[in-house]
Amino acid sequence: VRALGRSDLHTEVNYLNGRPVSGNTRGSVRLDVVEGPLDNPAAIYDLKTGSAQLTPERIQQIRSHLPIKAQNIPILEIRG
Amino acid sequence: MNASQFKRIATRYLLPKLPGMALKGRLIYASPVDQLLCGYYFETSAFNPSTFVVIAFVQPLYVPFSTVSFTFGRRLSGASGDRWWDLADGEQRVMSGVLSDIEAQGPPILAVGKDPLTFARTAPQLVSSPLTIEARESIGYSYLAAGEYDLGRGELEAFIAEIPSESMDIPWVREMRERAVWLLAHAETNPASVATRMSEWRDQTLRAIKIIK
Repeated sequence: VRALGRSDLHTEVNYLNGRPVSGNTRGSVRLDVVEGPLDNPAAIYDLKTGSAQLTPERIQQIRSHLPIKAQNIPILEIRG
Repeated sequence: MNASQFKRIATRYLLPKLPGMALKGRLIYASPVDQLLCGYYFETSAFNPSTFVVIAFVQPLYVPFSTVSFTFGRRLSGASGDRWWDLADGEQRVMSGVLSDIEAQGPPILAVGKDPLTFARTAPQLVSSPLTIEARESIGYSYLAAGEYDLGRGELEAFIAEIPSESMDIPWVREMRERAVWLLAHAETNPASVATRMSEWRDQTLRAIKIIK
């Protein structure tokens, strides 16, 4: 993702209660790729390999920690 | 990069060039801390522990929160977005580049945290437009902290009005709203209690992030 050189893509971003936080924050959700500004993301990409899947429960968990206006943005699985 | 490794390189390469800054874990912050935390956080990759990105940010501490947050901040960047550094490329060279990024990109961000009124007036330049609900909350609190009660009430009223009803199922959203309702009511009738409560919230946030004022 970093090699794409897109300034609107951010890798390894954590959110807790609507705010971007550090990666070692207990209770936060860690997202593989965020598109758009970190305070108001436009889409989330979850990188999956093998048999791992983006489950509805995981999607709900992610949404519950995103900034309020971003809680309905697309959350998409990317196969690696 | 573990904490002790970061402490060693920050002490060697960064702190001598950043007067007035202190170190706590992976955070370098302007010290002493008053009402806003201004600093640089060094975020390590989960995939490659020698790789990290630097986040410059300002956090109003009187908005209670359990950890450092980067709503009002930016990852320091190069021409192609976030600049991730890898210590494997050579510690001295990497840290020289980090310092250059901090000196070039950091001060305008940290200047937003000069005081609550400066923050309220200039923080919108660090976030999306139109303001997010979370940003409006912090700006409203900041006007109150600066004694600008009319402006603070206006922001908090807008903040409450913008919260979608479906988000009220989320506990932290309800708590945000309840705090704002309390502030609105007391800013009208008892501003001294607002100042006291916000001071308590600031101390609470400082304890949570383990920075002693």
